[in-house]
Amino acid sequence: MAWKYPKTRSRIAQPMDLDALNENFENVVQELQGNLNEHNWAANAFTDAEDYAQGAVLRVRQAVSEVVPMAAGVGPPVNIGSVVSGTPYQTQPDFEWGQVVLQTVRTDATVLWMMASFQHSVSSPAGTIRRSGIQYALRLDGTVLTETITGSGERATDTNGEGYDGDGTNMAFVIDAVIPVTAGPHQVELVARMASGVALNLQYLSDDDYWMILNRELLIVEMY
Amino acid sequence: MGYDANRLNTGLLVLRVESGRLLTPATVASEIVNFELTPEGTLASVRGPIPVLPNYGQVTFTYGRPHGVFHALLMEGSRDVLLAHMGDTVWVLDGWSRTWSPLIGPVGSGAQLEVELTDTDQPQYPTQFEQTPTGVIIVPQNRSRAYFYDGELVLPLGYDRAPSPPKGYGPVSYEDGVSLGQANYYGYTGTALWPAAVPFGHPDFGFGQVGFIIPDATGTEAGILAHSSYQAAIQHIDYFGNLSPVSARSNTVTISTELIPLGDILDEQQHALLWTSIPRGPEGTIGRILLHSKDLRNSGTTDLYEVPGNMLGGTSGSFATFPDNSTEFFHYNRSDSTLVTRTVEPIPVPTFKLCAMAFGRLWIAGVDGDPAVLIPSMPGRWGTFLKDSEYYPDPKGAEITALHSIRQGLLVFTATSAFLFTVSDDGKDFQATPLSAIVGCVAPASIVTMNDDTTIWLGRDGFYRLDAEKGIANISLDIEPMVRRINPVRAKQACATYVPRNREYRCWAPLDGGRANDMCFVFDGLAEGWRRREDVEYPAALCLSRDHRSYVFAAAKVKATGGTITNGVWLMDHESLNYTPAVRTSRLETSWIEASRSKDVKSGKMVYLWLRESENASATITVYRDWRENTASYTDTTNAKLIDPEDIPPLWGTTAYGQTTAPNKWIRRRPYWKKVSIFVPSCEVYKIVVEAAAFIEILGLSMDEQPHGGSGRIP
Repeated sequence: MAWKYPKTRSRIAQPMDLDALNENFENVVQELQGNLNEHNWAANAFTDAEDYAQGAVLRVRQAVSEVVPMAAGVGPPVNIGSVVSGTPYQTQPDFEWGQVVLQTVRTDATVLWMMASFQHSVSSPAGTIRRSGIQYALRLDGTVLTETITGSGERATDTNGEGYDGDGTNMAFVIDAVIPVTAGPHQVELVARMASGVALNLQYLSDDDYWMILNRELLIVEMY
Repeated sequence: MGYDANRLNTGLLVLRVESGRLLTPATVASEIVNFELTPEGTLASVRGPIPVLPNYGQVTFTYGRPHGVFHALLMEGSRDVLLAHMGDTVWVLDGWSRTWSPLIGPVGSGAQLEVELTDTDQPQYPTQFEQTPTGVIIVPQNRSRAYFYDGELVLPLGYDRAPSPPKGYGPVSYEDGVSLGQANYYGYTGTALWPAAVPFGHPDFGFGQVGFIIPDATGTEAGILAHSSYQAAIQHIDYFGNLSPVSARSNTVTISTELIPLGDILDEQQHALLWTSIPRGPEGTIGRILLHSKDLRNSGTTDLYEVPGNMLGGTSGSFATFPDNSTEFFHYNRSDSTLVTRTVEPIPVPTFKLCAMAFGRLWIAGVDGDPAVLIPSMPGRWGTFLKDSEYYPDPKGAEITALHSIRQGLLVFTATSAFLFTVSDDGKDFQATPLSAIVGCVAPASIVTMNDDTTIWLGRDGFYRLDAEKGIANISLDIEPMVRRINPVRAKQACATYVPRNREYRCWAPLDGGRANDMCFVFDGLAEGWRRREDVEYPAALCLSRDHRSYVFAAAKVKATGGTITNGVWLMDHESLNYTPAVRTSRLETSWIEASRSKDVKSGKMVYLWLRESENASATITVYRDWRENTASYTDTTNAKLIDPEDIPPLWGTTAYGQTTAPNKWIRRRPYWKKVSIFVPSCEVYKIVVEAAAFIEILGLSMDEQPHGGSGRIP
């Protein structure tokens, strides 16, 4: 709000001073050059994307994979090959985090709002009725953000086991996180891992027992 | 009239600083009031102040008694925060909404944090603020807690008390007095949630992992579950990462000795424990750490260890055992080998008066009940102070009165001593180097580091400057008469700031019997001397904005036009059209000229003023003679024009837009000479006072005098 605090007030009977005039404009120009802050904007100043130019305040990046899981009137896909179109992500039976979606961004020092939304379904393995659980999380620069892990991740104190154990239910998920980052390149991922269910028993894991992540989107907003 | 040939000229006097001494060179003034040094090297009238929140003609904001003001850039420089402690409320400027929002205020005020802050006029330090990489430490005085504000959330700084201990349950033995076969049979019992006696813990949680199993060397049994015992404690962690003191230890939970028959799997004979009554933390707590002992009987240690939040399944570890503030029980099923991190032992955060950032830590002093102690926080945890980490810098146990961080380390002051804290030679500790056993600091807010890397502060008997090479020196000897008038009882409330624009150190302090800071001592870092100003009546606190603007804010009482004195937050050295401050007179008073030749009589004839055109008005020239400061010998109110009447510049209110006749162009204001005849016959000494309520800018002055033969008034 430099306009509110001019250096000199031009009063009647004072010379029309060049330096004073320039000095009064100096701070205003500096603010307009990149030092505007919340004192210059109302709390709800930006309610419409058309209020500001592309990339002026927020920079949005998006990574999307579309999967048509089933034809009309047909049930959910029973395995990775039964989707109508697109490529589902298939979890691996190794309990390790696997990359579902990757988005690399190069930012200034800012706050990143990372949002992942996706659907999942489960395969129909031959001969078993119990399946593993599943966990999802956001991973930033190789570090899984603990707060975004779905399920408790705690086998010892959670009666549901480590991860979500939906017994094959088709579901949609949304997870997000807001994290300040330093300037430079950053790798944002949606990751998934198979996790132990209630029984702690790993014997049910097999090549045909997996989870499929179908439609998936990773949205990253740089908030300056 | 004497002829010019008979006159002597004093030569050009470029007066920039003042002295209170009787005998000074004519190039040093007696008083320079309400002038500041301009970038062009002239002395110009001070401007402003203006209210930070102008009166928009809507709702007039009413401020309480000023206690503190602070500007910070938070959230990696993107959040511009102006805080003001006025009355019983700490406010944060909500610029766009044209108001202040209460951050910390009394119950019912709608403040984000509702607590009682003492609002008193008793002698006290200004509210202390310190910026950390993640937020601002706010330290109100009068035994208040300190607070932490990150730009969005304000919380008390750390924890001032320990949580209560948890209650533990372990396996219950059925003692039949004959055998140990029923040992540990019932598992833990005793809570409403798990009321049933369950051997080996609860099946949903898997096999037990607690217990100490010894293989039976005789081969009679598969092994022996040894008699074991365990304790636990709780530590809270808040939103800003501060750790609470560790709770008292819980009751001891035991596992009885049990023989494991041949054929049984040893791993299936261990147990689990249940911890209940896990206390929830106060507001701001976001997690709790369960601290657990290893087997007290067999492990050889009684230390407490942090129970990791996650240890299974390869997920990354969370910051606390419970990343929440709601769970009240915990099924403990950890082997001793997972306990690797020993706990730290913070002390309850005391109430304190002073703080400073140094070495990546927050250092606090002025602790209630222990005024000589100096305590560093953990690095990065500004509200976590560890047990046995404190220092007592002054060997005589004097009260610490100020802290200030400089390039070389941390300055620690008592009223009569000064120390420099640096990292010790081995890099693992800190060491105090005495700087002075005589000179101390009485006002923590008076300490300012200048751009030449020297540090200035108010001591008991004057202003001192620390130069890394020259040591500590008194820099106020020239204004000793004024310095001696500083009210010693209230000197602690003095406040100062550095003004980078003209390299000034400005310190307001109370004079004589004054209750408020009513005199500003200005040290000119370029001219190495002092001036004074009175553009703000009673500032309780000052701060310099940390952004490109370098604003000087004051929490102060200011006199408006009409004489009304109002509390407020003010921006100094600026002026605007929507606020007219009270008229301030700028005053330049020469020393007693020719004092060293005062036994010789002379007559003052002419004053030559070297001015820079500033306003279509006149300065007043007053002449005093022969050490008489109350009676003007000569006064001229009309001839010292502040523009050159023979070459008038374009003036606001006179020059018409588009006018074709000169003056009609923007100018850079020009210097000019103006002479004013004075008449001071046959005096011993004389002094000239130039003063103006209008805007005045002075380059220098000189005087013509006519010497007379014979001696002066020598009895």
